[in-house]
Amino acid sequence: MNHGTTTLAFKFQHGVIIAVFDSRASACNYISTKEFNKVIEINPYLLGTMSGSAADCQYWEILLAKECRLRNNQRISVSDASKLPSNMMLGYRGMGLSIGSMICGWDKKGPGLYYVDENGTRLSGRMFSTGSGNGYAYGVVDSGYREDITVEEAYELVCCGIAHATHRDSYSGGVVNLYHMREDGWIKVCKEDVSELLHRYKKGMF
Amino acid sequence: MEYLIGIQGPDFVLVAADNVAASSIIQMKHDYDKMFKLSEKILLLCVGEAGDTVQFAEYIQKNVQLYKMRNGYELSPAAAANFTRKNLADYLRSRTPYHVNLLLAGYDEADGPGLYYMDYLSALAKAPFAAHGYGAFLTLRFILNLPSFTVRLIDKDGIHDMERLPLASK
Repeated sequence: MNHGTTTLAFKFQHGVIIAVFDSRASACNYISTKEFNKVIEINPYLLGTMSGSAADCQYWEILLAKECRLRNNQRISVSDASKLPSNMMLGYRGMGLSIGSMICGWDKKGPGLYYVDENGTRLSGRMFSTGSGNGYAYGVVDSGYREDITVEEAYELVCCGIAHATHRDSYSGGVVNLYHMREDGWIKVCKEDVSELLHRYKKGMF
Repeated sequence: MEYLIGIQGPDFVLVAADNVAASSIIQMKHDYDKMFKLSEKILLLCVGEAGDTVQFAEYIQKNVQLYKMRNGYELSPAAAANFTRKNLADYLRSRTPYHVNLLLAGYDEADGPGLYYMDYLSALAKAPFAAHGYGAFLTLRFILNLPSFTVRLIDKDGIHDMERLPLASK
């Protein structure tokens, strides 16, 4: 189980992926950074999210970004881009690395979403959530997800999941960074403060 | 928990594995394939610690394929099983042991079908039927809450996918 954040990504109708995360970086009980960017923009068609140890994630994902540069005269596939960190983690087994990452991208095979962690686990799937708030996010998105969800509804659902997770999880908070992976690359949709979102979703609760 | 089962018949081996990939209490995937194809007639079923399973199984898989490329013919199931056991045993007393439980199922032209049971301490046994997981204690009568299973059959014609088994919904 990773700690200190909530990140969420899923594939939906048109095959595109949305990745959302919060921005709190904590050192025990002290919030060291309120606006830490937990996504690494590897290239216009690849994103990597970070949860777990901030230092480990940053170091290894920047290393991954370096490895993802043009190989064989073509852009790296999402499958390869996720296999690289998975194999790197194998070399450091048992040494206490803490990384829970999702590699999202769009390549020749269409949209790709992989979960990679410090044990070397690499899973391809339609939806993943990582971090200490992941259980809350799974609950909200699992109940609101439909196969034919529209883009706006998907943005709302994902913000709702993250907002609820950050509300209940003391280690998550700050702003929601929303990215949308499309066939022509990713776009940064918005950056909303969690407390604003909570007022929207939990009217009457406070 | 994770579950593997294998049954050897007169001219086939039937194997099944559950489809759940879990991380503590969260089910991350419900359609996860735990079988690794080592060659045309050998399957390796692998469960155990996260990360270790795939990394170890793929290492064995690639080495078996490399043998074929170098020598022009494939390793037999018995040879593959012993190779796997040796690797597991070598890593056992290193700084980084692999915590994996395996079933290796294969069909050999000369020896016929074979099912090999291997555990994380690299004990190897050839058996007519075998299982890993809590379900192993209940091999004759199962009460499992695993929603679906991947089932495959190996015989002289190779590996065949059988219909995925879902547990009847209430």
